Amino acid sequence: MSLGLGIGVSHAPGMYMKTEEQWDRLWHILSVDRGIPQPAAVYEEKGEHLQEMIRRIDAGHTELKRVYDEYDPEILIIIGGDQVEEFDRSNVPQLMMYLGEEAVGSIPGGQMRSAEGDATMTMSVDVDFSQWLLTKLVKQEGFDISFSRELKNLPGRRKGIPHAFINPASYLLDTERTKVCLIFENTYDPPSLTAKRCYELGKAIARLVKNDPRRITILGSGGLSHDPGGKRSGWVDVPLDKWFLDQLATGNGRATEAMYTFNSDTMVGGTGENRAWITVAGAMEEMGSNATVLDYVEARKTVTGLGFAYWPTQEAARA
Amino acid sequence: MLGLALAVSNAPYMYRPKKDWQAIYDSQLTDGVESPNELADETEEVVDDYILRIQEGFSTLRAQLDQYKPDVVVVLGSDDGISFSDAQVPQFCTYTGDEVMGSTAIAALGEDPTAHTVELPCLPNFAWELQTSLVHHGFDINYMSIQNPLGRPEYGMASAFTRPTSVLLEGSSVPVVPVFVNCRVEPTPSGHRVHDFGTAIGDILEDAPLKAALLTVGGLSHDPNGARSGWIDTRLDSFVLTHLGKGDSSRLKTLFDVDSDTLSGGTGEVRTWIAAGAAAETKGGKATIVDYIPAHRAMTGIGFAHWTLD
Repeated sequence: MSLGLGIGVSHAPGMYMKTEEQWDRLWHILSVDRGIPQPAAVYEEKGEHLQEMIRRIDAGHTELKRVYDEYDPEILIIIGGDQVEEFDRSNVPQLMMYLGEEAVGSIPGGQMRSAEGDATMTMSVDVDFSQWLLTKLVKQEGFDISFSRELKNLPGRRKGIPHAFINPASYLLDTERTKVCLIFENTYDPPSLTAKRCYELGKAIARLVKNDPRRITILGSGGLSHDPGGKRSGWVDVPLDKWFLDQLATGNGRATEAMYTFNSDTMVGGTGENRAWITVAGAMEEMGSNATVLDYVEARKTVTGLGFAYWPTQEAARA
Repeated sequence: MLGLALAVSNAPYMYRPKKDWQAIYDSQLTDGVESPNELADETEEVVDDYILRIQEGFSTLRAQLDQYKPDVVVVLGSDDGISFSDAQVPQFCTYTGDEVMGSTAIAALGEDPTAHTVELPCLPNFAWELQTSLVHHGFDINYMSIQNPLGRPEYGMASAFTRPTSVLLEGSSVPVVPVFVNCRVEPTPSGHRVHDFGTAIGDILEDAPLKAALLTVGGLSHDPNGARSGWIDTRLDSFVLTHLGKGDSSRLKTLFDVDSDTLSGGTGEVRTWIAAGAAAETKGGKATIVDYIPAHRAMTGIGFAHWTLD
């Protein structure tokens, strides 16, 4: 069956919050309390308008879950980044594959940060597949990928696997049915990977797995434009996000290689997580698929442009 | 030959005393767009220092011109709604007339355009040669041989060609050749295209039988009356200046390959700096960054640079 489905989805904590009070609290923590001047549009995010945004986020998650379940993958490759949850500056990998048997993390919802004792989920890693893919990518495709066989959070860090992996898995993954392959991309700490490198990684993954008999899904987690707590926290770059999604929808993912070719206040922070989407675009365009963009929500109180997309294939349709 | 290239911002504040800054600033604000926190740090003393640095920046560039003594100054700039209207927006356009007539008046200050007129001599034969050569190099470039401003006729000519020259060429009889680059009205040329354009201009000027200087005008990051009015992308400006300083303008080609709020508005004028870098680098030039002033009270990243070429 091979690589039959791609998914791109944001993972901002606010996406799992269901009340205006929670959104406001998040907004204050990330932007207002830090004294960051806010865009005018953020003040419209209240009442029914805000509830409608929450409904759209839920609808996006629901539709992705439907598409995911319909394909029913045996392996879920998740591309995500770390936000000082697992690594500090003592060793920041550009690319890393996790080869431990299990990956545990805190399920999102309600709180800004999960405290000790929060609900967790445990993902089963397909170690054999991950090891095989790692070896091929290193020895055959020329990617310098670190690897880890043990999840050992640094002192004072959040426990478990970063939220980039757990957040989308929390509503998509049936841990009894599907194993995961976790690929860390440095999406946050400069100097980060070029977009071209991320796109090429996706193409290489697709080339390697396209003849695999199993049903495989690749998911890019994060983005779109946001810089939580940063200089422009709350200032969603709508033209950038729409341009980005349009490239993916038209099968023009190569154009997104222009991202990060220059430095800018608008390209730093969480906007770097678009890299994960670019890797999925590389993979799925190698499979001949364009993205179907389900929705884009300018959610300034979550300080994020929220995207929902998937890449269908004919094989998935036949599945 | 091309012996000198200059680059300078063109914010109206640069030409007026401090007392006028607030009125200009107010005219460039966008309703509902909050100003960045850096604005509060810019006290009267800070602005005094900015104005001093702006004067010093101009003086440094003027000294470069005085030392080089060019026969002609080719000016790359963007229209600001004076020369062109929606009736036609050229991507590139050479002015081939005998002289430039314009006004440096600033509307936000209520100034009468007729009280701030400027006249600049031009070099038509050289302008036609430049125009012909650029067409030969594959650029589909307009020409303007007479002034018939369609946007705001009372100002005569785009401020990019009148304001900096009113300072840098004051009292001089050196002729100019204005060349328009569309930096503001979408669709605008890509960074790749303006880089190629700059390279072509560098090659053409180097082969010219007179001493040419290139003056590029505009930028750096600013978005007056736009979605990020008042905000300056210092990271972006630093990136641009760093690579021009390294003689590596090719790193700037992709700057406008993405659509973004941070690249909109006046920031598009960075295109002229890319062209300047490309032109200078045909002779191995690396920019000397004279100064960079992230002047939030002028809502502009103000830059001064020159390339002194052999």
